[in-house]
Amino acid sequence: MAKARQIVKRRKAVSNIKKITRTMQLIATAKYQKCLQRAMGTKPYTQRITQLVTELAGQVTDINHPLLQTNSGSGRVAVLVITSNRGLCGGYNAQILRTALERFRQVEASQRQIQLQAAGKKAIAYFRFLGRALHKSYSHFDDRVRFEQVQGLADEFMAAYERQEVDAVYVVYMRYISTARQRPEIIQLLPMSAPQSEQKTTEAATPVQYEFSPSPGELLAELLPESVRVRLFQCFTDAAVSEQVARMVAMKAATDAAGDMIKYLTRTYNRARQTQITMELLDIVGGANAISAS
Amino acid sequence: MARENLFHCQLITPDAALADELVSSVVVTAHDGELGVLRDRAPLLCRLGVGGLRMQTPTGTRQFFIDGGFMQVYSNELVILTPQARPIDQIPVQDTQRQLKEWQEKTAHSLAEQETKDVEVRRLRAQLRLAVKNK
Repeated sequence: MAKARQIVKRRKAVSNIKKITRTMQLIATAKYQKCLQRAMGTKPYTQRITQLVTELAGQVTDINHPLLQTNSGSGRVAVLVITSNRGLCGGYNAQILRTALERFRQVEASQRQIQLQAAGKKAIAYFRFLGRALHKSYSHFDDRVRFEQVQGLADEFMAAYERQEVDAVYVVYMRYISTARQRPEIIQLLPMSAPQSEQKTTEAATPVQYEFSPSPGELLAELLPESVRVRLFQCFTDAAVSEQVARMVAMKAATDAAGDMIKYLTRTYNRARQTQITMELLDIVGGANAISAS
Repeated sequence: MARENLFHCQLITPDAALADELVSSVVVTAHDGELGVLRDRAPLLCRLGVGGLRMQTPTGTRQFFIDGGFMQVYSNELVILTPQARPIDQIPVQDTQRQLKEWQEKTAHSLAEQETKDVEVRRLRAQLRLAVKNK
């Protein structure tokens, strides 16, 4: 009966694991709904800021802002890699880190140094394992990232860019497209691409004659940093949603796999038990036959 | 209230849209002082300051604290974009007073720290002023 007892023990262990993964799946689903709601809540602000930049770009003839100019003197490129703080989310972190490493290779091939910044414990641990020097690391960004937190980070990037300490700033994160699709993506945060006015692209009739306070140039100078902050914030909210989706999918797969294993173990146990009974019966019948024959 | 005097007003922060309703007038703190907006105002793009926002709706007045940002008026649609906003009746007076005292007692060791201190003190003072006035 030793084998059957072992199978029962194993089945119990698997069933406990299934309970845990199922709970984690439910938690991830709840968190995903919240994160998605937050990510959708940030969209109107982002869209309006972008719209204002576009409107202003049509009014300012000579846009000259440090964030739009290309730096080339420092030979350094800042890369921010956004991963999760926790594991058990399938290939989420591995995909981001793989994409980041590809970009590192490209940058290093062009004889430029990387100023690496990591957000999320997984990225920090991975780059430490690889022996890469981390310029800065952040592990305080969770699934409820606040704008103020990201604002500080964006301001640091912009200050470093304006001081010409870095030639460009890239962000590697998981972009949320839909529940079924997320994709690791690299965006160039700085230098910004020059805003195009709507008139140039869509050839609208007459531009709106706005009254400006202060001047359009000053307004644009304030709006450009804000649009950088908003873009970085969007990266963080997208990453939070993608993480929860990945965890949800991974935990569902784990729950299903545990269910399959329980079924398999139950079948194996029944067979082992049946074999045991048959063997015992054979023993008894064999014994009885031997007695009657003698 | 006559419906023809109303226009659309939205208050949007990075976290959420806090207000989206028909109003008869809005008074907002711009970068150079308070600014009133009524229906049929000419298109305007304006930078905002730290202070109050008062919306007169058909059902009453709604008041918010806003922390800078931008305002756009176009075709009877007013959009206020601000990094931080809060209804005035939700400002905790005692907490704000305590925070203000803490910031005022802090010693700044560099120019950047002094700037942060000034911004925080100004922001907390504005919140406190609005909250006390509202009581």
